[in-house]
Amino acid sequence: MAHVAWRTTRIEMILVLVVGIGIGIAAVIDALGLSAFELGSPACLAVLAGRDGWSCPELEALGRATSDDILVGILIIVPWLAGGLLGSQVVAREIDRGTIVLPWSLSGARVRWLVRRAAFPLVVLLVSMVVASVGESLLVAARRPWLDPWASLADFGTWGLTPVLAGVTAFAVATAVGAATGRQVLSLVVSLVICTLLALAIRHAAPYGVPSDTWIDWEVAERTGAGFVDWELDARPATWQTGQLPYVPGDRMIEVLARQSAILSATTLLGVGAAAVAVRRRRPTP
Amino acid sequence: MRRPDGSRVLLAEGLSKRFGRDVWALRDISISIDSPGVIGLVGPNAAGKSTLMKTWMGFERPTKGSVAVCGDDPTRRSEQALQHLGYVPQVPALYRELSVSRHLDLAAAIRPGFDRAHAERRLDDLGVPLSARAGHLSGGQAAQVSLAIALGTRARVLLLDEPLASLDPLARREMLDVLARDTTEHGSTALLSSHVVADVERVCDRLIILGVGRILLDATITETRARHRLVLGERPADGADSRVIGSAETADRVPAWVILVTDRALSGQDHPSTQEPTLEQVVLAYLASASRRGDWQ
Repeated sequence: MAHVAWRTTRIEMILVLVVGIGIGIAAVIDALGLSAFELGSPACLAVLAGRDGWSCPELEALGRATSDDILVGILIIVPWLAGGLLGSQVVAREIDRGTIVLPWSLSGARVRWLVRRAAFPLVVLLVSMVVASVGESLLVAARRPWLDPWASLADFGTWGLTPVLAGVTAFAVATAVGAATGRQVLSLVVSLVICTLLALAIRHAAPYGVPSDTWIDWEVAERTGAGFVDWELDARPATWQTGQLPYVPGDRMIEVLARQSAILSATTLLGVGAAAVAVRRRRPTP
Repeated sequence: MRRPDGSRVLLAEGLSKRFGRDVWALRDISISIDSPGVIGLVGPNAAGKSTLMKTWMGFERPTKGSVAVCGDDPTRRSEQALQHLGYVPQVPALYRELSVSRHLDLAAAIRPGFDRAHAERRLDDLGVPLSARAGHLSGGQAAQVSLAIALGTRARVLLLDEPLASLDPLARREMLDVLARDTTEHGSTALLSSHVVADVERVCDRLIILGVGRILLDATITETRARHRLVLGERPADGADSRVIGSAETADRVPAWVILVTDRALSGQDHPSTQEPTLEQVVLAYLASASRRGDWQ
């Protein structure tokens, strides 16, 4: 079955692999470069916190870290698009081309067929997203070494398990869309729209009702550097929600991640269930 | 070939299928098939032949009535029902990127008990290269691959949905020969839908004529020939022993009528001006009759 998946969707799989591994490699290279600047040395942080001037040599690296925003930020949406691209074609392409008649006429166990048919693209997606996520985790750690990623929402959703889970969720949802529509292009468009909306919703719903661990006093924050989660253009510390009081998950970060994982897992299960129902009930023609 | 539990190989009872609000593909169809051999399913386009087969395959759900394959409802117990079925669609459902050999691998992976060697032998006999990609095969070769996969399932029932439609005469003959040989050797049942009456006549034991969702005739080929007569000239009147089916033409384009005669009439003196019709004349008469009654709307 892997051979069928590879021969029928190899272009999408190669694209997802290239993008995921490419992001991972680029992130690792950048992370290594940033580490070489010894970002976050106490001397430099003191200069920045006191805003005595821009003479700190690490500022060059800081500028580079800002330019890496794109590389980091891209992983907010890439897993959703990658999962949507692969998932949308698992069933839809077979129905659209009429090839699904062959497996569905050979066995009535359609859900088992779906599991076997989806396994290889899912593995490709997982490999791609794991590589990208590992690279991004290193980059996130390197670009703001003064921040503990496990206590801050800086670059939240771009490292760790989140991109991998997001990719799987998108894959499940898109597979359901493909099974329901049975059309390649329609399924792709609808899946990408739904996945983009889901990505935005997941992003904006953070921290998922978990209260802040610490309310930071701006004066203290500026003096100590604590709670810096992002930088404005004028080098003032800002938060992920500019204009609001800074949110610091601190020790509650694990709760934030658990709730995010639960939301993504529930959405994945919904997608899998919908795909199974659609595959069981639908006719093999578009 | 009724099963030990008494269930028929293929059964449709009061089967109706509607698409959308008012397009009826099948209306109150009842068919029972429990004998081995090849059965011809003949009818014009949109007669409901494909829908009937797809309902047995579980690809379509009945709007009314029920269907069963060896006693199993294909919509509720699709795994059990499909293990008795082999299916050849009108357009071969092959992956153009995969080789023929990979198709056999796929079938073996999906279908428990798939006889790969049997399918390979069929293809080898016909000179279809296993290494060729499906996308590079001719229409006839693709149809043969499709049939070989269906035969490789060793299913008790084969449903062949106009597999000959796009084939040249030689390829048709090869395919029909393979089908006839296989059903004879393995005692299986094949339901072959076709537009071409000559093909049906060549291999079938029984004929079912479907006219826009309704069964117009269901009889063995021998019965069909024996119970119909061709009357030349003016339209005869319906009588106690005979019923006019529809108009026909002789080979010389002489207008004629196909009539259905009762057993009593058969045992008595045959009408001097009648002759035995060809199967094609019978089929065309039934279809013309359905058309005249407005069944095509």
